[in-house]
Amino acid sequence: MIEEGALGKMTAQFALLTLISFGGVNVVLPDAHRFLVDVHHWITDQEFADYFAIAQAAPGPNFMMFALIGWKIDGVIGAIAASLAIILPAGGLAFIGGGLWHYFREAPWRRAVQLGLAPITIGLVFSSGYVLSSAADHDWLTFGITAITAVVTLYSKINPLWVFAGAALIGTFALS
Amino acid sequence: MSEIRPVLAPRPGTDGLVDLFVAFLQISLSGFGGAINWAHRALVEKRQWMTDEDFTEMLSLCQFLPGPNIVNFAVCLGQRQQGVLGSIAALSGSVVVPFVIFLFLALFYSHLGKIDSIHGALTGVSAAAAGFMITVGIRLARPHRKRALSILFGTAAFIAMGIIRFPLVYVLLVLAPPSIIIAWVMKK
Repeated sequence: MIEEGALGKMTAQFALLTLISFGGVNVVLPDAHRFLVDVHHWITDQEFADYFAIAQAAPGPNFMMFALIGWKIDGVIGAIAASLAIILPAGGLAFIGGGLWHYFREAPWRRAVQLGLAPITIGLVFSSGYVLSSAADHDWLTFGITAITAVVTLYSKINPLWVFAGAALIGTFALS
Repeated sequence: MSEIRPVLAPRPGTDGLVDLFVAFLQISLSGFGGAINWAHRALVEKRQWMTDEDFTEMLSLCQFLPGPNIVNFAVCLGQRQQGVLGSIAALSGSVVVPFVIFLFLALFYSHLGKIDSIHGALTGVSAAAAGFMITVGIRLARPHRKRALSILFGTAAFIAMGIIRFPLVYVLLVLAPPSIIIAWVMKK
């Protein structure tokens, strides 16, 4: 372990962060960075950036980044504690929230909430696409990959994994 | 053009739990560029457990709840199909196996980021992920495209989050109440 008591502090902090991470764990990354790098010096700036990149690239949810941080702080135990701290509070709340939401499925107010929220949710999906695109598309080739992926996944039945494999291959040879 | 498709009922009992586990395992393992895209493909297009409207409704709920979207989605869909065991099965599928892969990667991480071709591949994958996200957006938007108010609020959300980059919490706090109130008033 990095220092006495680090495991407990990390677990408590992650459990707190997950409960305020409205919109996914990416929104609390700045706060996690402050806590881990600036306040406690448990990991370096470079490690934080590396863990983020690995979590983006590897199969599996992006919040697995926190498992890597836990691993650094206290090995396998740390990785398990970090993952549970992220998953269980949010999962418990989702169970209660989802149950209530379903219970009121016939209520007139719920239909209004649903109709009112749907366009905002869809706008947010487009925002994510746009943000991803502006981060990744710097030239005609990357822009072309984005456009072709959108057209192919929209109009053909092909498994998108093939498109991703092609994009990775093109990237390996043309974008390195 | 909103396709109305039959929603397949989940298989009862243990078979249904296995189905949930396998579905969410697939979703999390293919999750390049956002698990939600793959969730749409696996749950709406392939398995037909939900319609586009159901998917949007559940995604709205999951965005309002804190925590990773895929965790919330697994818990809520699992619960709706099979109760608490369903939540556990779906959640296990989406996190347990990726976790083991991750521990393995953790051992090698220092070698990974330093190879240039991996950076190139990552850039290619990110560009494709953006395109896939746009596809899912278009699919979800189709059933709503004839309602002017939906187009208005959807565009406002896109501009606020995507272009101006306001934090999600503020976007929801500002846009959701008027959108819901108008939907409520117009229904009456």
